Amino acid sequence: MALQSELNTTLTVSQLTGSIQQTLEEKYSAVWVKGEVSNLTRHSSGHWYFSLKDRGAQIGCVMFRRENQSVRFEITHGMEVTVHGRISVYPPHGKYQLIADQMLPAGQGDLHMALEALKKKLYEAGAFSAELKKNLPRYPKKIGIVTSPTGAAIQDMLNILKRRFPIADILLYPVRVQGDGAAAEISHAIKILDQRGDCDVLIIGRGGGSLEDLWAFNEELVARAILAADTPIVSAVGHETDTTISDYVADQRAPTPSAAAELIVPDQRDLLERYDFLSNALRQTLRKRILSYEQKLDSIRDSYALKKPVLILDRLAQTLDHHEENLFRNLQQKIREDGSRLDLIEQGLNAVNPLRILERGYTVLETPDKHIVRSIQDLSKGDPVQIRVKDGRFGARIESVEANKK
Amino acid sequence: MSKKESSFDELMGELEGLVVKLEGEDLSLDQAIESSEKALDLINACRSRLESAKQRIDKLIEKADGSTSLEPIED
Repeated sequence: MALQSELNTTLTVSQLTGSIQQTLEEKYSAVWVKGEVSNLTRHSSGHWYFSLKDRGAQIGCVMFRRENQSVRFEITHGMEVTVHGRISVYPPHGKYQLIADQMLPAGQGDLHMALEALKKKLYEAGAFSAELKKNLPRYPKKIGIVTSPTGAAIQDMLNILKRRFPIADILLYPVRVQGDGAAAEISHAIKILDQRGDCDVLIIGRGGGSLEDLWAFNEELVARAILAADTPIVSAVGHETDTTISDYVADQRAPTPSAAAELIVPDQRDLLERYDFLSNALRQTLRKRILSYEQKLDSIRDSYALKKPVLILDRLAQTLDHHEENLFRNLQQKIREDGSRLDLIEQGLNAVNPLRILERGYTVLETPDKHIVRSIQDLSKGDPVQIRVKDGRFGARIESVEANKK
Repeated sequence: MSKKESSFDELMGELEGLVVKLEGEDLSLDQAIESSEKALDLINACRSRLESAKQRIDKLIEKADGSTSLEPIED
């Protein structure tokens, strides 16, 4: 029965290999491993194939061209190195290998691993968070410097600070920047300067050196002191390419001590130039402004109304005259037109005036009660009538009445 | 100035504020003249601060008992 149940859970080779692949690749997706280089082959494709081994074991490695281009030292057979990479399983061959992406000489590799571990720890604790970064003062009154009192770094910084912004006073806390105890001295100096509270920015740093030389700035003690300080801190360690833990936790990183000095103060030449520019601009703007007010005033003073009120009256009077004249002319015209219309009416009237007819020799027959006789119906024989002529009338009687023949 | 002497940073802050005001706001002629004069005074004050600056450089000496003293550095 036991055999039967075991048979039921039997895996195929592919299934087993797939499971191994998943397990290994998940667990070893990013590892540091130290060993001796052997069987190194630089393939024409640019990829490197080699084994890493120690007394007890070996592991096949490949480092592709893209990654091995950044390896800055010559690797040779038998060399002790520290390699970073991931495990990859190749099922068709049933083999696993390390795909390397970084390689360091062994001694440096140890420091590097320690550095990476601390970086990871601090990062996970939120020590690199942008929210923790304090703003640097724009015009510091006093600058605290934690560095070695000897050497080029302090001299460079002092020269630059003096040239650029002599207003800022400087307080140097001299420390050892390398060797045993350096980290303790640096962190103590940060604490003391921060507690004094008279510096409004601190520079901590040193000039270039090996990874070992710069080591104090990678120690947690220093990182904690930087994080605990209320004073803004600029980290300026080594050259451009060197990056230390202090760079990550400081409020600002400067690539070199000189760069830090340039970063934290303005250049007085720029300021003086700006003052010249500004005072010119201010004067000019003000002048323009006053000028425009003057012009406005002038234009008001010269305005028609203020200058010659009489002119306006004159013009008004003239307008009035003009209107009056027009009115008069219009009236005359109207009167003339009306007059000629009257003549016409008079002529028309004259044409139908019965008195004018009498003048032409016609007479008008009227009854005694002044009705004009128009028909034989109006009168009978013996009726008295009046005959009107142009200069008088006759009294008469009707002798006979006779209708017109049709 | 009546109170404690203003820091360079304070003078610069005041100057920049006035410049912004002069550039941005619609000031009356009186206000503009007053602000401009004040800005010019500030510029002169800043300039003379820079020109007369005597940088003090000290080294902090810590004794074994933890007390500290300052020692000027000559350069």
